[in-house]
Amino acid sequence: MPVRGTVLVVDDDPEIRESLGELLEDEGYRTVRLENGQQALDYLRSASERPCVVFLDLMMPVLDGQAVLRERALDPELAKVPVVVLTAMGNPSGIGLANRVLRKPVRLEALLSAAEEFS
Amino acid sequence: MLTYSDTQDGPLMPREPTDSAAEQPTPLQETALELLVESVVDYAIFVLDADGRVQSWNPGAERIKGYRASEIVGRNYRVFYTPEAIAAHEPERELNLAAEHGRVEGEGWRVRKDGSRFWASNVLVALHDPQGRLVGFGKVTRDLTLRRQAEEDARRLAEEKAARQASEEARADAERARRSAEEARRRLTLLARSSELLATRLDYDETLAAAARIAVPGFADWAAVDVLEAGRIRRVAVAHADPAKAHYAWELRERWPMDPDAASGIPAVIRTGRTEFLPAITDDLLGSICADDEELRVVRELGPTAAITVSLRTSEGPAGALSLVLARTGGFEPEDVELAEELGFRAGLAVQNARLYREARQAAQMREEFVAVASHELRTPLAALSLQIDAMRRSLGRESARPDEFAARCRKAEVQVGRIDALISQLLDVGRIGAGRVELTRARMDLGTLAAEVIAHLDAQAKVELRRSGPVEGSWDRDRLEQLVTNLVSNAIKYGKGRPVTVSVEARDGVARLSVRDQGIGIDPKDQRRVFEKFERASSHNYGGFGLGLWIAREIAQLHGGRILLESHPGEGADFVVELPMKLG
Repeated sequence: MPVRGTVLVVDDDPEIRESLGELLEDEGYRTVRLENGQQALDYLRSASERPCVVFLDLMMPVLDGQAVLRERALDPELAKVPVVVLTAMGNPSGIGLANRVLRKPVRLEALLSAAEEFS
Repeated sequence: MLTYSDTQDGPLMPREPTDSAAEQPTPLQETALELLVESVVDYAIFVLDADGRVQSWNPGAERIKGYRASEIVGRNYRVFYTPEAIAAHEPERELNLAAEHGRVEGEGWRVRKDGSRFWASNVLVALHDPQGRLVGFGKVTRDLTLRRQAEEDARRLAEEKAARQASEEARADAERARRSAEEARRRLTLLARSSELLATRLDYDETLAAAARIAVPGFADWAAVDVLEAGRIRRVAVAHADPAKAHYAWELRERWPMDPDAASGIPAVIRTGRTEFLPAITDDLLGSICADDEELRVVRELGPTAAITVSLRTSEGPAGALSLVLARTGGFEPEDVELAEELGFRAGLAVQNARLYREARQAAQMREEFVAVASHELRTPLAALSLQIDAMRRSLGRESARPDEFAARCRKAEVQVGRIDALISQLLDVGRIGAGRVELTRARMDLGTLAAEVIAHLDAQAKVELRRSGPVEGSWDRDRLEQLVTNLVSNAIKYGKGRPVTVSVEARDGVARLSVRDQGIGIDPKDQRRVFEKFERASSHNYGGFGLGLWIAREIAQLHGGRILLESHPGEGADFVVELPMKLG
């Protein structure tokens, strides 16, 4: 199996987060799994190597997905990292800033094709 | 009565009734009498012959009737009468009456030479000769026009006075009627205004503001509404005829909050529902109720001179108080108190309606939010489940598929199914408990053992320590209590920031106590009542779950005749304590 780039998985629900992480690792991606938007911003700003794509939940404690998208839009460095939003909400505000939106429950094929496309 | 007789040669003279004809008047007497008659000017004194012709005429007669002696002597005395009296033969009748009775007296209109009339008092006396034959008449007439005028004036004055009195009374009656009509109009206007202002509103805050505005201006110079909320009295609306002064009424209660237990004033009105009427507010009174000089200064800016405070009563008890205050514009009448109470009653109804409407709207909004949260919460495990199924299908297609990997995915899928099941159970519980359809199945059990089992089954991401000393037994519904303890412990784990959770179980005074203490984010005192409400969470949305766990836990405790207490400070964790009676009843 080819070793692919690093994918950031940001979701407060441990089941979703771990499932996504495991499935992506099964496909050869390295994953960094985080619980909320603040952890995601901190990681993106401090990591030596930028991840090739971020899978971002919207409803999270501390700092939600929309706030991450807004911060990212204001920071040219962060804006270089593609973001795929995963949401169970019908039509949440602010997701126009994302590169792609996948509805929960998300299908594995859609997830993997997005990962492949942006990595 | 005088009778008169004449002598044949002398003038006709009165004569005292006597049997003796020898007593003839002396010439001196006659002359004196003549002089007297001649000098009288206030009375017309003249003599008529038996047919009524004038025989003599004195200066008084000339003055009163206007004829000179030469003009009238020899003419019939009828000319002194009015044409109407002449037509009625009054002159002849009077002569006949006098002849018959000797004398006629009366008052009546007479006519002067110039045709003008005067009111005369008359005496007509029959004159007889010594043999008793009628020889003529003596007549004395007095002009009573002035007297009559004076009498008429007096009568007219009396009538006018009476009329004026009557009209004054009528005016006073009219004034009273006007004032009472004015009062009725003011009352109606005020009540109509209250209906208009109150009935058209359903918003709670707007209704409170309207309640203050009804009576200002017109009835009161300023008004305030204070309500009792969570044991504190809060000013919620102010209306002032001078908007620039309204801020003093706000400032007063913000800086000097009222003591809810005060024996008088707004707190007492709210507590007892009884109206407080201060007809005259003196500066001394203000000084005695103000806490300090600064408060007195603010109160003086409002300048209250009279006040009525009425209760805003609702069917659920007192909601607050409406204070109506006059500032330097006289006082209230006692009947104003009744009107103020009517306003208070109406405002109370409106406030209650607004409160019910607000609650209904909040409930509807909460249900809507709940539906959104519930669908999100159900989708989350579904998403994880769906991913596991996709992964299984994918691994089946691979040559390198491993049975242990497949089995692990199945277990993960089962966990998600369990989560979905638990969420659906919660939803059903809400429906059942809300509808009062929960039957407890009581059996003898030990609370400590139950707690130990719950902790063992929880897939704890944090350390949970159980402290128990001896058995804590009671007759409870085991499944329901398991649900209660599970909710509290998983709640503590969720909000416990990964720090240890302590569960302790003990019996004290016939009450079983189970405490679940975490060291997490804690709950702000203002949110502590709210966390037990349906669909509420200490911090909305971001922690997963329906926010029903604590509500269900509280309901279960209450079904058992117990309760849940919460002690918490933000940042210092929370301690939920369940108290259950150990004996039934």
